[in-house]
Amino acid sequence: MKKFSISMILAVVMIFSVFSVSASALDCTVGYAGVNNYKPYCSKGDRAGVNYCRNLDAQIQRIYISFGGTRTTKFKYENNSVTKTNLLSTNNKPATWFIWSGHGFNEWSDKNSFHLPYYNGYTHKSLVNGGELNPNINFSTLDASFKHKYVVAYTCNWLANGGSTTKQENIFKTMKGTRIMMGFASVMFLDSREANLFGLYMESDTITDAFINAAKVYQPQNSDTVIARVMGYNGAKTDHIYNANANAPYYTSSPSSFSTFTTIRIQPK
Amino acid sequence: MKRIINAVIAALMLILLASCTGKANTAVVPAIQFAAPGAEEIAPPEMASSIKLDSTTMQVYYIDIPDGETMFKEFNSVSEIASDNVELINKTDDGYWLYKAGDGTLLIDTSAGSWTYSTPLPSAAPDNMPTDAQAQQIAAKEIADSGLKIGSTSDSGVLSYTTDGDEKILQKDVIFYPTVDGKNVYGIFRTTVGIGEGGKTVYFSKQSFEPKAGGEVKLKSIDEVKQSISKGEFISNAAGASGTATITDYELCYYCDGVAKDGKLYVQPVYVFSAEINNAGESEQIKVFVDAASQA
Repeated sequence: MKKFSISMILAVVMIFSVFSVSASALDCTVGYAGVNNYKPYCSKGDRAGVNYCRNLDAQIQRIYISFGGTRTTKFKYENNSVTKTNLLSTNNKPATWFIWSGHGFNEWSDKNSFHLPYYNGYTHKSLVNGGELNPNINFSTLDASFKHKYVVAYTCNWLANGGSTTKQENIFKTMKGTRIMMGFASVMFLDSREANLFGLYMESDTITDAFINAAKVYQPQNSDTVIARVMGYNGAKTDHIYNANANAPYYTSSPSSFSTFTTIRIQPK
Repeated sequence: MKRIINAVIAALMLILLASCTGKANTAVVPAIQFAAPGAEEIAPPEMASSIKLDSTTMQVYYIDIPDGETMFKEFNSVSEIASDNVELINKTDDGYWLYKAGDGTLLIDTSAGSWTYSTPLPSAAPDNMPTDAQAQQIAAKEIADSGLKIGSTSDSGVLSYTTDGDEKILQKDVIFYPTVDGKNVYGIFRTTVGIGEGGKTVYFSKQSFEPKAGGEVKLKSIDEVKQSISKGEFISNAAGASGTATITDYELCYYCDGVAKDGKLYVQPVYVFSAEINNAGESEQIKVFVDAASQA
């Protein structure tokens, strides 16, 4: 009887362990920073950044729930809460998915930036150190320390290197545990519908293919070539959203393990 | 009695004449929903005094968005990608139908009237990729053989490359940008055929169509255009530029935003202004897009 009871207890514990492992493997956290409203402080036009972040977040949630997992918000910054201080704080809030959407700059020789809408209520042009290029309203590739597993930079220029190995190296150095970083190496068009498509494609395609395929549908929209790019840890090239993979090593500890996976140059007429 | 009848007839003729010489009815079209570039934007441009907007009306075009079954048949009309081995993955509330189709994935967007077939990108650059000219020929033949109505095209397609980290080509996309009434169409209005290893079709996206005429729309006057610009209701491709642009010329074209409005997709007038702007001390040519249809 005692032997039977012990066996039963062991069986229950094993069954419980299996479900516990399965459940945690399908869970994710999402952090995002998106900007719709750049006015009144910034002279740049309003964009659909928040919409893109929310759409992609909803898609990720849908997919994880469909696999029996969960999605938890790690952080969420929209419009005027998208500040340098808050973005720097995300460097220590590692999420499964990090999404940025808003304006992006590449004016410097060694770095690119997410352009932020708010700094203490100052009008951007009034800022003494560089105006719109002031460091308080730009979160650059030198500021980013991504410990997130997957980074989506739905913005212009984040992955542009202009032929500079220094700039390219600084982009890679943002990856401190990131398996895949997706974005654009040119001006691109913010169309929040692209997030819905990206999410949907992830049901069947690799994360890389899903991002590229969604970009091909919605980019470009006027007269400019759009360059979409995916880079990351070589072992992540075939990652699907439903894989429970560990974080990658830091780029700086193993540079040869990282590369640009795919670049597509979508030509206009 | 005869005089009364003649008077009535004369009065009726006068009424008829008056209505014929009155203002012709013009169509109404919803405003364009531009997708804005995610880079810095210019200040509202100024307009050179020599700019005169000559046209007062322009034809608008549209299509009734086809249903999912129609688009499924379109997919199956392309022999290189058609498949009997089709399995539904998901049908979403916002109108996407996603299928596993043979070696690839078929996505039908029932809200935008477009569909896309794609296969996984290869892990390494293939050795036997066709030349650019061969890729264009294969793509053109695919479309011709399928009988798909993608709109009016007169060139062999624009080439776009997908490359790996070493810039080796993984796939060549041939993009057809149809014109309407001989005018360029901006926005989302194209059909793309992707060619891979050995000339195989590995990607096909139909985002264009043969639209129907929807009537003449009234165009914005120069004052209305200036008002739109002053309110920031324009997009441009002026990334990285500063200062104020000066509009020096314009072209009336079309724009298709891919957004369904009352079950229709519109191909509607847009002003494409050429402008000069100062960029780090050098003069640069840019384009400024303004919705041309008057909402007044």
